[in-house]
Amino acid sequence: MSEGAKEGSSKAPSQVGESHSLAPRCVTCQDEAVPVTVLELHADAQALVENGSGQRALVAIDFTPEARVGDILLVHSGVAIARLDEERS
Amino acid sequence: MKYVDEFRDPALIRKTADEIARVIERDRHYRIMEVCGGHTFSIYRFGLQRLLPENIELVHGPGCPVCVLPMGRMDDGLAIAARPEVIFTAFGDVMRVPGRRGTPLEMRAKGADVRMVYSPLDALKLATENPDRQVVFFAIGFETTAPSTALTLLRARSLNVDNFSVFCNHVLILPAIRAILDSPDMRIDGFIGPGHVSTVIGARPYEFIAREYGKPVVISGFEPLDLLQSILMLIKQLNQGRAEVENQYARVVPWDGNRPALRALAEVFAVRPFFEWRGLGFISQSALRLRDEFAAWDAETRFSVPGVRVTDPKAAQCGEVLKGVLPPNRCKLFGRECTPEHPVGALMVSSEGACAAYYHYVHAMVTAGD
Ligand code: SF4
Repeated sequence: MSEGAKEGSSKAPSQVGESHSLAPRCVTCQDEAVPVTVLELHADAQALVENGSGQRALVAIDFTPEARVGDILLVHSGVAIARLDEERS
Repeated sequence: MKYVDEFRDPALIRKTADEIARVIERDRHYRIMEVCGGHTFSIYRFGLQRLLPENIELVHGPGCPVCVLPMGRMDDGLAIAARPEVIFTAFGDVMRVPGRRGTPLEMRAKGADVRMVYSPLDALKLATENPDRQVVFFAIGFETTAPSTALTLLRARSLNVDNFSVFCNHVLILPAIRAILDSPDMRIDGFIGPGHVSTVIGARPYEFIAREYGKPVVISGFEPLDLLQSILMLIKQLNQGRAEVENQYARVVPWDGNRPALRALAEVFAVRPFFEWRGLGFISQSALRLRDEFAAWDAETRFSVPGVRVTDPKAAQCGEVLKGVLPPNRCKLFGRECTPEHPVGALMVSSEGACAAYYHYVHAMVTAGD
C-alpha cells in the first residue's frame, strides 16, 4: 500500500476523509476497499484495525463475524466487507 | 503488507506480461472492458497498457458511481442540503460533484451545513449528537458501499434515531453490464469483473454474461499482477473459444458472496423499477430504494424533492465512452471544454471516471513530452 497510497493521497488530500479515515485516496463509492489487519476485537461488532501505513481505526465487523486478531479484512466506508482467505487463494 | 507487496513484484509482473505476449494470436484484436473504476485507476496509475501488446485494447466501463449519477439527483440532494434544519453529509468525492447551482462544497461556502463523512455510520452518530437537527446522508455507490448504508439504517431503526435519513442513489452493477451488452454498438470480447463489488455479490451472478452472451469474465484484484493475471486468463479463454466466469481474486471473493451483507441488503432495500444513469440513460431494475418499512428514514419521503431532470450537453460523448465505443480523448470536448477542473460530462467528475483517469495519467505525460 505504501507507494500507491502516497501517490494517491498527495494528489487529492481533500478526499482522505476525517481523522480516522483509512482510505489511501478516493473515499467514495469506487469499487476499491482498503486492506487492514485486525489488532483487537471490541464489543458491539467492532474491531480495531491498522492499514499498511500504520493508520488505525475502529471498523464495523457485522458482515465478517468470523474475523479474528491477525486477519486481513477489506474495509469499505467504515465497514469490513470481506476477510482474506488464504485457502481460497 | 502481505497480499499487497507480492502483487507488485516487478519480476512476476514482467513474467506475466511476457506470457501474455507469448500466448496472444498476432492477427487478432482483443477488446477487454474493465467494468470497475478502481481498475481503470490502477491501469493508469501503474501504466499497465504499456506492458501489453498493441492488439490488446483496454476499454473503460461504467463502474464509477459518482460519474453515472445524473445531475438532477445531485440537484435534488442539494435542495435538501439548503434547508436550514438539515446537516447534509456525503463522502469526499461527492463534495466536488456539480449540480446546476454548484457543488456541495460551494453550497457550504454559501452557508449550508454540509459535512464530509467517511462512513454512513459517522452520519448516524452525528444525528445522535445533534437531536435538534435533521441529518441526511447522501448515499451513493454499487454493492460495495450499499452494505454500509444498510447496516447504518438497521442501526438507526434499532436505536430509534428519528432525525436521520438517507437520500439513496445506490446502483447495481449487473444491469449496467447487461445494458452495455445489449447496446447495438457493443464490441467487447471479454470483461474484467469488479473485485470488491464481487466480495459482496460473489462470482456466480456474472454467469449470465458467459451463458447468454458468450463472453468470458474474470473477477480481478487491483494490484498490477492481479490485473495482468486476469488479462492472461481472458486471453486464454478467448483463444480456446471458452466463455466462463473465472475468479482471479479468490483470496477475497467467495463464489457466493458475503451472506450477512446480502441479507442486510435484502432487508433494507428494494429494487427500483428503473433509474437514470448519466451517459447510459434509463436502465430498468438498476438501482435501490429503501423498503417501505424504512420509509421513516427515507429522505425522499421525509423532504419533498423537486425531482429535477437535467440533460448533458449534446456534444458530450460520455455514453459512447462508457460503452467502450470511443476512447476518452476522441470525445470532441476532451481536454478543451471538459477538464477535471470544469467537468462537462460525467466521466470527468471523479478521479475514477475514464476521462479524468485518462486526463491525469496520459494527458499529463503527453504535454510533459511536448
Ligand atoms: S471528455 Fe467530458 S464530455 Fe467527453 S466523454 Fe469525457 S466526460 Fe463526457
